[in-house]
Amino acid sequence: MLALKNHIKEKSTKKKPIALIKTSDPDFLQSSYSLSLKQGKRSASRQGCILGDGALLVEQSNQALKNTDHRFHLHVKTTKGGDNLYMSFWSVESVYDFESFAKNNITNIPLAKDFILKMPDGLAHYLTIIGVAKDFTYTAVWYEAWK
Amino acid sequence: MNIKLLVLFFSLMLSVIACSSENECFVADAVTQVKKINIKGGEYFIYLRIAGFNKKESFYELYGSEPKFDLCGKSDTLAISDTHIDSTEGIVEQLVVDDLKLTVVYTKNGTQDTDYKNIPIKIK
Repeated sequence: MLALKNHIKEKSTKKKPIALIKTSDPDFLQSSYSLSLKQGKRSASRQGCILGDGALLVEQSNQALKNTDHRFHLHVKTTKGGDNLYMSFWSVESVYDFESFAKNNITNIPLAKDFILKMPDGLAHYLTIIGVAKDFTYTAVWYEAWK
Repeated sequence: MNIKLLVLFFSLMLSVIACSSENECFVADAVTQVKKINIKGGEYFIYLRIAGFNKKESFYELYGSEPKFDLCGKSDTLAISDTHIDSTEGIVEQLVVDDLKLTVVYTKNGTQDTDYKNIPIKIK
């Protein structure tokens, strides 16, 4: 968020549009603010990082977060008021779905010591194919006033 | 596949998971040893970690001693270095170990035919 704010400030100073900025915007990905978030500059496991397509990978040490959604794009709609006050509407929208059998992904669910249930992700995906379950999109939004 | 059986299976699994007191992470990372390497007389261990629930992400990790992993895939020692495999950068061609730091080399050509566990490793 700090990197995006710095990017917004710079664009605003240069009289460029700031109405909608995404982490996947090419000019943000090429900016120094984005470069500081790249892997190599930060630990992917302890701090998270920005990926090649602008997705944000969360810190892997946060078990709850990474198992909820560990890779997403961040969007921000901003207006600038008086006294250099910015009003930002942040949002994350993701699709909750599972990969098909072709990807061969397995989810390990620990049940007891030395007992892990191995569930193929394709099974959950298959439920959507036969109409028992559905993929869905989910959104997180929050507002922020900042200078 | 019998739909009723499938739904029953999922329901049973969810019940078992919900009742399990051992499970503090809900989903465990899958960690497998890729290779034991020797650098300047010292033994080092490279692991592949696959993490996540509905979307999976993969990482290489370098350890200075052979780690033990708990039920959730957490190691008993800190990795010296780790690197995320970013599939948006291309196909993984090589894993480089340089000054005890891991770097993935990508190529834009071809498809990912080689399993991440069998990627060539170059020690500089």
